[in-house]
Amino acid sequence: MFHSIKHHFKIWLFLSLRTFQITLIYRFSTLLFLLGKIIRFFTFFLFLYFLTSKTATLAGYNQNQIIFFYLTFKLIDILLQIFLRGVYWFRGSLVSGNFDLKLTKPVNPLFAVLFSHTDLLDISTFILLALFIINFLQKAAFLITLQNLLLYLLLLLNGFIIGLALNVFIVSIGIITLEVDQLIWTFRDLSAMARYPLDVYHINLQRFLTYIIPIGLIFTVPAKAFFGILTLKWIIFSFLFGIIFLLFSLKLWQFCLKRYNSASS
Amino acid sequence: MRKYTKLIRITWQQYFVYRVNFFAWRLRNIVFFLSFYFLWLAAFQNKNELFGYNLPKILGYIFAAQILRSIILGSRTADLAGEINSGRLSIYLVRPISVLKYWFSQDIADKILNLLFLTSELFLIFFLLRPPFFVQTNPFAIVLFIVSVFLGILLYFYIDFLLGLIGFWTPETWAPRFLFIWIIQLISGSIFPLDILPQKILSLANLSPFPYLIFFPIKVYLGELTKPQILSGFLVCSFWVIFFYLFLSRVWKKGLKIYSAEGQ
Repeated sequence: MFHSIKHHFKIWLFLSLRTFQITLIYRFSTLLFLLGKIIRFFTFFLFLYFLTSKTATLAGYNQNQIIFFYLTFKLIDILLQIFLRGVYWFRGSLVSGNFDLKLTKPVNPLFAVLFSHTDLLDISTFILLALFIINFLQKAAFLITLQNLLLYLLLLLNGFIIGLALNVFIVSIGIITLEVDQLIWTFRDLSAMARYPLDVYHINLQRFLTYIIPIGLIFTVPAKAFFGILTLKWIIFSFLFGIIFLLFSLKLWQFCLKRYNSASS
Repeated sequence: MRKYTKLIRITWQQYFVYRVNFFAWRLRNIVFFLSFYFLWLAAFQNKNELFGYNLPKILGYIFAAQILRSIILGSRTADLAGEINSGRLSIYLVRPISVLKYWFSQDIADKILNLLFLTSELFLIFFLLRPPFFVQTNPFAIVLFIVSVFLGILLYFYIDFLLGLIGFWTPETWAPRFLFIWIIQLISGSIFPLDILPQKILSLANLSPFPYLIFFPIKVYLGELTKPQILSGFLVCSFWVIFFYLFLSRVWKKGLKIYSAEGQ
């Protein structure tokens, strides 16, 4: 098992460096993309900042808490985008038949699908965001306990695992239906609803975004744990959901892979 | 004129080839709207007024913004750069059809379809949620609103077409478009009313053409501008429309001179 992890890590590093090389060819475009991402970040940051400057609370949270929900959302969103970019190329490889080549290689095909286009430049965006969060936390003067911080980090990881499981679910469905792009963009649009705490929404919508499409578990729950307002029931439920959903998605992948029909390569 | 009407019908048919894509596109519009609708409801939970808006007016703003996003910012000219890079622009050049009118016809088709489906989606949302949103009853304000929307459509079309012409000089057209999209989202008023920004930032934004795409038409609709403000707004917007049209014509001529139809 350790050998397999080391083998796949080397492949991931190799592919990521190749993707980075391609990025460096188009330096000007890369700079423009980076600027666009920074403007996108500040668009919603400024909106929430100025909105909450006039309201005492929003869904029971003060300005600093609302901003922290947004920063947590961006953190997990960027992590998912960094590592799981390969999903955007999956449909193309299915319809062209190039997926057949991935199946013949000594690499786990699911790994090859999801982790093949990691953009190392996005890691710079992640680092910038992390620094921004640390700076924000120092100014916000939250009462941070070690327990809440640890729980926050563990639930961030759990959020990433649920996001990963969702992507596995989407590519599995994609093998049968070829509908990958619309599913992934629908997931991203639904995820965007978690820019602020789900408490903002109608209770039925909250339930839908927690139990059916687990956006709440990915993005809102870690921030709530940070503030120490998450009950033990929710903590256990989140971790259990993450593990069960991941196992289910992996099984679904195996099931769908056995029913894969090549488009011819 | 008949050929452009036919083009509109063909564009509609293209949309319904991939029905799942179409359905997902409509769903994404609804999701986007709902995320702001509930946010503003939560903001007004303990407040009667924010940034000079009451609840009916702010909900009127976001309803109008949803409509204007679809009919002003919805465009097919994003495909233009790809056509230039691949050499397929030659097909349009040899046809007895104006390239500008061709793309504008496609845009109109896109906007009409958007408006039709959006109306039914918003009607459904209104039926389910019964929001107390502001409805303008002053016919003069409605006429001015329609004129400002028409100017906004022209303005965005010219700007977007200009972006597509980058394809004459470089294949890297998606990055400038991505940056441009987010600049527009920030300062057009499509995500939030620009009034919530401090006056200095708002003054800077007003130096650009972007507030005249969404923010200015909605303010006209809400009846929140004085007559001098409406007049100066129309004058500035008209200036930008003429400016971008003339600039576009020059860039188009320059682009055609170096166009080599690579790939054809």
